[in-house]
Amino acid sequence: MITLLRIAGLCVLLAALPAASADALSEARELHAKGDYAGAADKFASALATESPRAAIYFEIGQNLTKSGYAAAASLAYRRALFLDPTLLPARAALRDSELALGIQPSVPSWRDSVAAILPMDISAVIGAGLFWVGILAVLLAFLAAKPLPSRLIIAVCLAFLGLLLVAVVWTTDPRVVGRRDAVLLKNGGASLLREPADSSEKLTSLSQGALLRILSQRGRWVFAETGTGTKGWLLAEGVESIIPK
Amino acid sequence: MRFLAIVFTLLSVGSLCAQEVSVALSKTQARVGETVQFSVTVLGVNRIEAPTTIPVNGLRINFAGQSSQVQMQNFQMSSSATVTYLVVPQFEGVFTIPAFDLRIRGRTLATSPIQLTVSGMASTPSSPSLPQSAPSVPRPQGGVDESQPIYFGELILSKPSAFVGEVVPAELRFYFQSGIGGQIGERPSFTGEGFTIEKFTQGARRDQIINGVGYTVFTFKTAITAVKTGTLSLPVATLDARLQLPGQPSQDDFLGQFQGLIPPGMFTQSQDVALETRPTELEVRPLPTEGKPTDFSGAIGRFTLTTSATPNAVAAGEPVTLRSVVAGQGNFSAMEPPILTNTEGWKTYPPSEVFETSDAVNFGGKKTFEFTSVAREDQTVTPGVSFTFFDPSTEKYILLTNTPLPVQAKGSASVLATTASPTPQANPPAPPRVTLPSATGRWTPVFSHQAFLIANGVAALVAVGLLGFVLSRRFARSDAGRRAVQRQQWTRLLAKARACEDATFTEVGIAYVAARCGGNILAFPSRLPLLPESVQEPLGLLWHMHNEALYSSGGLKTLTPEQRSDVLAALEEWHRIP
Repeated sequence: MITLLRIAGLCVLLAALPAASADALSEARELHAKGDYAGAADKFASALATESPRAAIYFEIGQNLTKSGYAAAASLAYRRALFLDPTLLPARAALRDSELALGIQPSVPSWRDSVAAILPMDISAVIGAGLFWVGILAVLLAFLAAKPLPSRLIIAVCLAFLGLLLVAVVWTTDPRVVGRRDAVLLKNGGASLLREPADSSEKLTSLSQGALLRILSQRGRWVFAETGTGTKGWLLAEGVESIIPK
Repeated sequence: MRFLAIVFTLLSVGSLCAQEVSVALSKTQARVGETVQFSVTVLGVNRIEAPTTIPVNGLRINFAGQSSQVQMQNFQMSSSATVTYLVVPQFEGVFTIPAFDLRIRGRTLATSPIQLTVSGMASTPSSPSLPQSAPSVPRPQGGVDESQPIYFGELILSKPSAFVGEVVPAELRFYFQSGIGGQIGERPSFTGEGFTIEKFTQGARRDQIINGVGYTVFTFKTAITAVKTGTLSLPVATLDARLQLPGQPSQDDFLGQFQGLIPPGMFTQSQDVALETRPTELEVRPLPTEGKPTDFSGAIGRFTLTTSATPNAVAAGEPVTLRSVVAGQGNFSAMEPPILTNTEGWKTYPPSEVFETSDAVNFGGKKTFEFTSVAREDQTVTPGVSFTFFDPSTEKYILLTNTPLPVQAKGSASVLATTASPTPQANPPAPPRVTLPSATGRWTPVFSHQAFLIANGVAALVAVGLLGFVLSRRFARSDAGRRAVQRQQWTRLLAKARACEDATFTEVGIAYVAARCGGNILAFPSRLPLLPESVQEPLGLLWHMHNEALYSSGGLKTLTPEQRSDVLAALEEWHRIP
């Protein structure tokens, strides 16, 4: 079913893609083949400016950035690819490689990642919402009869519950929902997490380049962020890039 | 030369206590009035509860202090606590300091008795343990023992010879006679060629009696690693100090005029001094080539190796972390990671390292290596781990191995083949071979899409409408619903009665009565007596007119305005009754 939907989506996409985007992608791949990885990454990025975001393009950007030696930027590209398509296993493996190259302990996939890797998010949410409303309407229609049939009522309630469960699972595992405040530290040499938003403030910990952060708030040039270990502090916004592009 | 015979007498007082508690006198023979140090040492503890006085006829014994010490020798670390008493003989004779109880961690241990011979003769002085190069300093005039060095230093190595690269724990000790005060520098100066040295850690300050003279001892722990073979000359270590030494009042001093009346030690003079240790030699041997493994890790010492794997079941592409812990004593900073064996079918990465020291000089502790491994093919066991080190005590190379651990790992060869190498490659690689999805994505989840929100809003409206319909249907079917409908009918008829013309009032009134009787007008006579008396007469009139019209040919008659008013009032009153 998912494959059929993908094929259908691909056909629609191919029909709708502007010729300019196709040219940009072709040029990017030619640059990659010639070994100009940085140029290829730029070209892929320019292609994204004219069409909808695609996990595959972010993955290719990540590969070219990796070969150019920009491991932190590559990890950001792989994370973006995984946000768009959590089922893209090569991006997950490449992200792990990038983190190792940066000296960061690769994050062990959580149950959310495991669920997201097998569940198409948007489709599941639509199906879940549909099942929920069908179930609800079936319950109401069953009550229109003077004496509702228990079997119909049970089936209708189960449908509604199943739909609600599916929506809840998508809501709690979709990286675009769960990680909507996530960001990657791209600053060369990493950064210091400070207790207060001031240069002279006490240093709480050091952050490596490529570290994953959760942005909690922003005040001027400073952002208040939480690290993977739960440490909360301030750092300069320069070099902190949101996974979901602004 | 003064010779002081320091005799430590270890006496057994029981199978357990004898192994832990020792007693000692700084002299077994003393003269009347001479102070003798009596110490009780307990191994393996750092705190003792001891009595403050020990009653012995002929000896005055007073508690002087307690100290604890940690020693390292031949890789063995030991701690001990010592309680010190000062014993002053009152008269000649042979005295026995009796056994007494000590409290240690809630346990009671007994000491051993020890003898002290007191005579009128002075004991023979000697100083065999003092370094020959003890610095010559201005001799104090009072408060210190002039016959002994006021201060000196020494370097204690845990062993006289070592292998190149082996870590040798060492201790710098600086002694000051107890009678002087002052300040010492933060750490000694100790540099030279042919060896590396760990940073100094200052040990606990303690008191020690040497040749009958009390010294305050400052210790600095470190570890020395020789980097070349041969005889290593360890240079002098220097510790700066500013001392308050006993001195004479100046000639200009007013009190100097009272020379002779001023007690010794009343005046002090500040002096900056540099305490030095003696140069020491360490014999450094090369590591034997015989039996040296090709994958020797460079570790020298005594170690153990343990390995664990987490998680023990992973999906394709997910890593298994092998955690190998090398624990023991030795050169942790120079050792290389253990080697993974049987790595066929695995993609392994260089390990991370974390060292946790268990002492002050990074000699003992454990180093944890974490290997990240991803299965290329389905695997049931992890790679094995091996580690080689050189044991200087046996002078042999030791190979430690950990067998592969059971694990369920799905292969991910296709995934790994597509990932890029972190290092740039010289030749242009082929474009990614992986089949990538071409579908477009969105940065916003479907929950925030307008179409999704509209569709759900419509569905919610339909559901709410249907719910209302269902509820109204079910309400209408209920008794309360039916009553409400009837009530609405009655209200409509009453309103009609109020507004109608006189000619039709009787008909409308009869219709109201019939409605109140459930449509059966014939039931009205039986209900009339149940109504309030005030309404019975007007409603009876209405009933009479209804019957008259029913059974005569004249039809319904019109009520007079007064009658209409009375009947309407009666209907209003009846309407108020549910």
